Amino acid sequence: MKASRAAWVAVLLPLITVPWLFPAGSDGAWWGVPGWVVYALGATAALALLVAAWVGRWWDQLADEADTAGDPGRVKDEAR
Amino acid sequence: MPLLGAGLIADGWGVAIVGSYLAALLIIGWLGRRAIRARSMSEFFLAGRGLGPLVLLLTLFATQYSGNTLVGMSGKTYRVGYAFTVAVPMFIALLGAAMVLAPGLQRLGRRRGYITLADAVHDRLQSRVLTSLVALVGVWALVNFMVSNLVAVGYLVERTTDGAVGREAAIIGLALVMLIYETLGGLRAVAWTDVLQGALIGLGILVLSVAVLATYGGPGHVHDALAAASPQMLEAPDWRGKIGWASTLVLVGIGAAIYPQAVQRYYAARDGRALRGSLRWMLVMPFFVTGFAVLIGLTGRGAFPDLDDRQSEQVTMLVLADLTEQWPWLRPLVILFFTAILAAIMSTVDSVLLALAATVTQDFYRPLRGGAASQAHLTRVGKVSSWVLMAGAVILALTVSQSVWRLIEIKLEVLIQAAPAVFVALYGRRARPGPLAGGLIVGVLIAAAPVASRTVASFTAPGWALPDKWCGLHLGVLGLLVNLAVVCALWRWPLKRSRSAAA
Repeated sequence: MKASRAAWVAVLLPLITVPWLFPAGSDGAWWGVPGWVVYALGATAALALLVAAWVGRWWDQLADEADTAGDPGRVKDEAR
Repeated sequence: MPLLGAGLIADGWGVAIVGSYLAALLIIGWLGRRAIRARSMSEFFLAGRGLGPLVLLLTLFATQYSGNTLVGMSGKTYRVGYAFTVAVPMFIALLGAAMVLAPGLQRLGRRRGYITLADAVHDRLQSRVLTSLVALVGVWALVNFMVSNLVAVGYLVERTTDGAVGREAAIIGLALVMLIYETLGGLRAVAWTDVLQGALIGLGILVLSVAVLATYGGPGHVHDALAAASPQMLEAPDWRGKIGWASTLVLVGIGAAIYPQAVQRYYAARDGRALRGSLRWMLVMPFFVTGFAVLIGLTGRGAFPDLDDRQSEQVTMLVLADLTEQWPWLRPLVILFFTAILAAIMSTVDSVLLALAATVTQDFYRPLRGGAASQAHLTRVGKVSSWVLMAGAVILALTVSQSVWRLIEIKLEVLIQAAPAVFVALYGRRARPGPLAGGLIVGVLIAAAPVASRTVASFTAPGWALPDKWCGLHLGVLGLLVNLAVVCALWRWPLKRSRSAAA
């Protein structure tokens, strides 16, 4: 995955946790917790699993992309 | 109402537990010094780039979750109810953003010897102006973090010792302890103390979650109590609240992923595999830590429904004090949890101090000396700047007036404006610092506008000020959108002009 696409995914994917489909004022309880809160926490758990899977799959690719992108500049610290 | 949590550590148990904790920090600092192999910047500020997965996990954990998480978030939940559930996904959003930036930062940081966040920007984009802007934005966020946590720790110790240790003495004393272990062992000492602090936070949360659930009942009881006392707190947010939720995810997700102290830990990782593993485990934490803060806030709302806004900030201490009244044998555990709050604050301050000292040394002092300064000299400068910076922060914490404080009370809103520059520095194929600097400046101006207007209004026309949000959207996020628009607009412009001139 290209870094630019990964950045969009990282910004947009968490928005699934917003309880968009629950109308304002709804308070029906599921297992003692408001339904929209159960949804938000469930979506958060799904998001965490997706991020965990994503890390395993794309980490090295993103690191390689950073390695090859841009012109090398000055070398600092120990390399000096 | 009595002083909440008063005298919690004023007895023998409290002095013994907190005293042992502080002594352990100093011993760890000494051990950190013994482990130092060379007098270099990377050895002092990045623990020789050798942190393994477990230490990384606990230092990221202790640094990310400050005293504000354990105390402030419960207060916020008390005031707004279930709507503050956003505190859980916002930490996952942070890790999502970190997963984009951390692979590049870690790989390049190791290969090219970066020490600070601005190093990446300077190395790849070769602009002193943009580098300085990114460094300044980082300093703004770090100073805010450090001073606010010092203020919090002063009040916390004064209250819990029943005034036996005054606010000033607490701030100065704890600042000295932090300075000693940090000067001795640098990031290695800070990370090792974070292991102790992270373990304390985790243990405290685990034990007290069980105690709170057993004493006040589970979600069903909380629901019933809220339905009777504050039914609006059970309701789903309206459209403005939902946009505010989404805006919070973007603000915290992107902003906290580039906290300079977090980036320092990406650089300090032994390798990409260690960092990746730690960040993966971090995905579990929000469900327990912020979940605990939300649980305490909701429980407090049901059990003590009449606190005003100011008292609600102390809801965690109130619930803990009530627990010890009902179950006296829980007192040592509650003191342990208090120590965990102290640990959470101290682990944040020491990390921030180290990141600030690194920024001052690497991004501001080193360019002034050109290539003349040796690693040993820069390390010494880093240590001296830690003391100077801490002294400044302590003075600010003890003296700063509210009107001045307003100027630095925003951090993520400002810090987030550096994200496009960091991203392009890591992954961009063309170096165009001008548009990035322009976007950053415009974004910061928009983000800081409400705070600046409040500060001006406090001197001139009280009552008038720009709002912090626009249609639910944080001005920092709005600033980021304008920042990106400016970058996009300027990105191709000089190229087009030069092409037409050539034609």
